[in-house]
Amino acid sequence: MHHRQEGLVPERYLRNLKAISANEQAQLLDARVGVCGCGGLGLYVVNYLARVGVGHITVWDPDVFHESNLNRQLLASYSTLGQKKVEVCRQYVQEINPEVVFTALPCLWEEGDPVIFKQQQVIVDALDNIPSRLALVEACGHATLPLVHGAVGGWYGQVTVIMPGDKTLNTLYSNADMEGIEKEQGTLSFTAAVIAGMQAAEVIKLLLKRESDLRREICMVDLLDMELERFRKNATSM
Amino acid sequence: MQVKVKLFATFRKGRFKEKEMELDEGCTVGWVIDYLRLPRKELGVVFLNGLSVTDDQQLQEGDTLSIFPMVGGG
Repeated sequence: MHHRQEGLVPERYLRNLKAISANEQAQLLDARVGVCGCGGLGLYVVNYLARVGVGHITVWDPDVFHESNLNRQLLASYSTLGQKKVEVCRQYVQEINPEVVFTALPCLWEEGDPVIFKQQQVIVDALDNIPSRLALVEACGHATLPLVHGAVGGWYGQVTVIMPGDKTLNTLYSNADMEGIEKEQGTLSFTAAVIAGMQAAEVIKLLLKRESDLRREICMVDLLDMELERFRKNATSM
Repeated sequence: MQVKVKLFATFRKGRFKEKEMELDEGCTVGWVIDYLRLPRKELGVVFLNGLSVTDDQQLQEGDTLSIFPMVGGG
């Protein structure tokens, strides 16, 4: 099951090569990623991370699947309605990559064991509300963990990488009481998949110590006009 | 003075994508937001020449102002 010898890569990862080297593949197998939120974004992120070969994935979400999730959430189906999202996700990950050590935590990340949180190497913000997102930036800052932020609404989304001490999210969400455009615009399946895919790419680059401009920039995605804009973060917000 | 104003996502509906606006000297970011009737409760980040700014920032000839609604879903 485990293929740690240099240059020997299990068949399930052959198509990762050479985009990811054999040594990098082995690094991913030892990597630990925490995903906060197991909904529109989180389920896609976990799917991508498990398939690419991230060895340890922890997911926090107290929710069960509802009928209104069927429009966009990867594992929402009539057979999973009413079931815990993290548990359905755990079973799915076992099916696609049994090598992944998956920790399913059916609670809010704020209510989980802080020791487990601190054991991660990278945290993914796949939450659906602004106050929890802002609290997560704080927690990651205290734990000196990099955070991969993603948010969606309708045809639009945004992605950035927040290194400890970076206050960018406070700029993006200047008033925590506000609601995003998703309250009026809803959320579309492909927008969630695009943003989650970008988040997964940033997670992998962090784990493999590869460069990424998104540590200095915010990426805004518009799938209606098919535009992608990148803006530098202010020096003062870093 | 002339300032380029770029609107994004839902803010384009019924307005424009990009427009050169003729503004009075001393005009602020907040004035443009109110003039365009952009709903304050939906307002996200505002970039001036690529850097995020607040409402009271004064504009200069040749500036590019980019205004985004807030996106928070997951």
